[in-house]
Amino acid sequence: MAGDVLTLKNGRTADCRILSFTPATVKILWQDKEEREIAMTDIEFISFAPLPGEEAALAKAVSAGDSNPLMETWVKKIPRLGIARNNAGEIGLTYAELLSRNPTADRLARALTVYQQIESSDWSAERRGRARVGRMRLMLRQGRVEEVKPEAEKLLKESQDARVLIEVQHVLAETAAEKLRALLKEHPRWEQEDDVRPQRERLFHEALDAYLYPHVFHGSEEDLAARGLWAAAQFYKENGETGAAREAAEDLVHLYPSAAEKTAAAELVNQLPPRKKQAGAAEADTPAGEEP
Amino acid sequence: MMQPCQRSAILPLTFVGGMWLMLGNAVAAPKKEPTAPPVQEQQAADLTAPELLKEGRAAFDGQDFAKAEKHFDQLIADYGENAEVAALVDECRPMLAMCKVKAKAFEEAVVLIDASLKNAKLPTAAREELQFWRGICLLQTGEVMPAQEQFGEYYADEKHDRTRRFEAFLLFGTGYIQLKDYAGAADFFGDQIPKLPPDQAEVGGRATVLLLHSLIEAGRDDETLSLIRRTFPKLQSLTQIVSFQLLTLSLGAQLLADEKHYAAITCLNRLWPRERLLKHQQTQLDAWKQRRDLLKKEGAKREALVYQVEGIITRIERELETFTRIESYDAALKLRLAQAFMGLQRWREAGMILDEAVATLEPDKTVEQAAITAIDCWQQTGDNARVIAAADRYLDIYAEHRRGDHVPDALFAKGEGLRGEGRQLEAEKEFGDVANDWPLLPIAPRAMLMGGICQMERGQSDTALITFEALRKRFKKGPLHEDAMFWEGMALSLERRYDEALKRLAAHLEAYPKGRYTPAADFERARCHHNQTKHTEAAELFKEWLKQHGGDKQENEARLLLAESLMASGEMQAGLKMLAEIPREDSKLWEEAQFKQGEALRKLGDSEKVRAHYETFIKENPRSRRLAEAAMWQSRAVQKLGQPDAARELVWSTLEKVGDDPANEGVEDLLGGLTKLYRGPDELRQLTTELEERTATARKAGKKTLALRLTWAEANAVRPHSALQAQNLCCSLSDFLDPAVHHPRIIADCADAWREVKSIARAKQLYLDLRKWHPRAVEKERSSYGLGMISLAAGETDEALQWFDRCVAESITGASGNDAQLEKAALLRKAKKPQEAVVALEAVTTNRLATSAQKARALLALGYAAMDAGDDKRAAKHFERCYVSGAKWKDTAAEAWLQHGLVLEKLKERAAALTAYRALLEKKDLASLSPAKEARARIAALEGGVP
Repeated sequence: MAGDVLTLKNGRTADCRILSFTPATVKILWQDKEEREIAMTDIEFISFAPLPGEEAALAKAVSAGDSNPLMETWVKKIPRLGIARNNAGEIGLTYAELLSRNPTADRLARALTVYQQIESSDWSAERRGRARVGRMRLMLRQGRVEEVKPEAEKLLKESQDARVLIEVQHVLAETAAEKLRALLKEHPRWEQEDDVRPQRERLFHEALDAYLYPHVFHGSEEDLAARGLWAAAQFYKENGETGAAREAAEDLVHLYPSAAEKTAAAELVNQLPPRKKQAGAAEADTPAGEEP
Repeated sequence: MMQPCQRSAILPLTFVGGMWLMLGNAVAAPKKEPTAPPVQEQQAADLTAPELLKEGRAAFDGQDFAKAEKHFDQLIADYGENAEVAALVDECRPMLAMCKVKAKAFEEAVVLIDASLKNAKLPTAAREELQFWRGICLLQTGEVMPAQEQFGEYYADEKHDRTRRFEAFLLFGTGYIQLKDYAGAADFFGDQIPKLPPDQAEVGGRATVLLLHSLIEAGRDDETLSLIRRTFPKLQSLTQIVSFQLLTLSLGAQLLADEKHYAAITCLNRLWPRERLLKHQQTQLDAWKQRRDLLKKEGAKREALVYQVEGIITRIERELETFTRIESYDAALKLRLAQAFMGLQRWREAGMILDEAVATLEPDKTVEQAAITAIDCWQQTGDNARVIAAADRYLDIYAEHRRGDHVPDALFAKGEGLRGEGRQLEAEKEFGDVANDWPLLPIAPRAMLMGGICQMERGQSDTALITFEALRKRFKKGPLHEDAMFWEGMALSLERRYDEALKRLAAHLEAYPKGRYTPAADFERARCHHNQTKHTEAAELFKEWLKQHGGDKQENEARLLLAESLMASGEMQAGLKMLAEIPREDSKLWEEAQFKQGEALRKLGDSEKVRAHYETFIKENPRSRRLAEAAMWQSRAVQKLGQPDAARELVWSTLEKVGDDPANEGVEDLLGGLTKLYRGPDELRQLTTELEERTATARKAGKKTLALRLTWAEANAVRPHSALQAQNLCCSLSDFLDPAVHHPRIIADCADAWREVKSIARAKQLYLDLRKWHPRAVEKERSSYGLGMISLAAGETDEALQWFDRCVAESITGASGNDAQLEKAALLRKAKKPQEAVVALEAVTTNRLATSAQKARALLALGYAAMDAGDDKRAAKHFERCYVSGAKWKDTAAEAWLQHGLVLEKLKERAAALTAYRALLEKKDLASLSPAKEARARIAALEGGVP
């Protein structure tokens, strides 16, 4: 089995094995016997067969939350970043995300390099945007809150891609949440401070709106919508609004039953008491299909 | 694999229109320019069989199917039974069949196709074509089962054209839909879609749309939602993306109508907005067209693929055409989604959607309704800033020329938002606009009432009174007449115009004897008497009130005030009895009643009863936050009973019990009262020793709060005699101090002490911690002053000024605020801003909370400021006022005497100057101070002799 599939701009496809490629041509092994060189300009995209062990490495890395199994795959994939429809950038984004979960200085620096490589070389504008957002999130972790917001707002204006917009909103949400935490650390009795209360309110609502953005406006991006809704639930809880936290978790369970956050959300629903319903409110319907 | 449906029915073309068109196109395409008719066209009847075939084929190739049909019909009519030309008839029959298809004569077409298929010599390609079309014709004639059989056979033969085979697959499934057997269609597509080969993604997409339709029609909501969830993430791979989304929208709307809000949201929040859909489909269309053009260049061998691609292009174009005709798609989508969120009381989510809708959609009545609903949603979240923003957005769009239907509602909502933000003045303006500009609307009196309430909240009860009176006059029979009358009475009461308040409230009660304000109005009348110390009348009214309105929320407050009035009228026992009626459940008022009882017993001079009363209170309420206060009163009672040791012991034992609990209020007051229990130097020494020992014990026991409080108490006890020792003790407080929980007074004392010993960093941190953890404490002004002084010492004058300004703004006690004004004035003088300095100083001299020392310092500084301005006469007056009114403040007074003399000299009033210098020297307590030395020198200089 050759494994790789080359699709030409005229619609033809060829099962083959990619031997090498330059920016101008691709050398393939055709029908396991004949080497051919094809101009990049004639190629629509290449569907690369997974690298040996790639799927297992990805599964292992994601389930364990550990970047190490993916390192080799990522390094091998770097040269493919610019070739349309290949998954090198996706692997890189996952790798960088896993790297940044255990944020030592070295790992953060490596994650930053990965994001920068994707940002500069990936064929997909969407992935370049996501890499840019990933880089901004790293900056946020480094405490560069003030630098992040203007860049995120600039990207928000520039990008048309839904996933990039969502990622930017998430960064803005985290920025506001971080600022709010800093504010509350300085003003733990903010309720009693007339000049601090409006700042707290602004940041609180700003963070929530941005967390809820994908859920409200891009429900089809289920993973990101669920992530945002879960972040909102936790943010509500962190700020003492347990009723709203429960509702956000409840919404997640009902609306995104396949989300990774569902189990945790269901637990939160069980932990927190329900908010008193206002008169005239309709009861939540039983979700069709997947029950929590 | 594919079993035909067992039912039969007329086949509606509507749903499979897309598919049918594709096939129709395949027959018709490629379209050619119409060929010009021959110059001399012969009549068909005159033609021979070969001529008929030739002419018919030419017309067929030229897509003139009517003409071709005519010739072929003629050929079969004339020569159908003629064996000599049977070959020609066989050749024309398939073409005639297709002409019949074009003419929608499907039954005839089936007969012709069947006859053609019997011809063994029929070329394979033609046979395959006809078999396919036979299925179509059968579908059209309602022969669904045979049609499905035909498509099933066609699909099963893998030699058949691959594209057509999968079209046959779709048409097979469509058969179920034609028969309204939606469950069958859903089962078929649900089973088959996963089995489609990877290169049939486009067919898979179309099948998915058919599956969605079937599931919806079959009412299988669970599976439908599951399909929607599965499909949306990969929606971009569908060519019929618009159909899929429109079906989803329609389902979402139905679910919403059925109040299945989560299910509705599952559909609606996945849908793309119109712009994105159009852009995506246009991009897809361009890509397919590019692909088709490339394929065309490759020639006839790619013809089948070209046909397939053209079918796709047609479908996308049709969808786009249909979709662009749909008006207000976005509005329909967004408003429904918002409605679904509102059904779940998710006001924020609904508000976000409606805000976005209002910002992006063309304004019309629907969007206007959305804009006003958005305001309601934000009101529900309590986010006043968003209420104001949403109202402003509405007003931006619809307020021009007052054309919007809801302009007054938006203004009213904005007013409520502003009021919620504590911006009563701005709110009042909005309410005023509504009341004045829409006087005939029902909202007008409400707006006027709210305007008055805002005025009262701003402390402008006199203005509020005018507003309420105007409201009553303007809307004489309005529903808010009652409200206005009541609030007039309240405003008068707040204005302390009690007699008028009583009359107005009485008038209100007469007009509305069973109104909703009756208990409150009755209560306020009684309170008016109470506030006027007309306790007999107050007691009568409160008694009556309790009879009339027992169970009202103000019942216990009435009891408390009645008790006060009774006791003030000399009915102590009745008052005590009334206090005892306040139930424990109302814990705050009950505690207050207990302390009032103690106070009454004190006034009765029965110290033993006081002692016993507080002893019981302490015993029964060990967790009360007022425990220390109770202990203080108990100890004082015991002292009055002539048992000072027992009184002290009570305090110490209370301290042991609650002194280590930072939350227990009153411990600091209890400690403050200790010095009253130890009179004279010996007892004071005894007290400090006791405090030291107890502090050491508390330290050892790890009772940090207790140790802190005892040390602080010791500092206060020694301060009058040894400021330095007090300072040292206050500095040592930082060993135990936790600003998050400990009393702000202790923090401020500790910070001041560290500032005085120049440990600036520590002092600054303590001041900042005080502000952080006790933002409403009265000691906050001390922290601002301290921070200002620290900045001043560091030469950071701007920062110092800011802190002093803040201190003035925060000042409640006046002490730090006036000190801050004095420091500020000194800085302004240095900065050559004499007028501003004078303003600050005059703020001190006119402040009723300023001490005489502060006023003296202010007058002295005012004298200097006048001298700076060259107004020596005014300066002389200020100096004179300073030493007259502040004579006991030696340093200040001495300096004022001297400066007075000096300024009189400048005014050439030598004799008066000499009098001033001599007066200074005559005051024994001032004669040793440095200004006296200079006064002597001036006298010598003026008289040339010894003073």
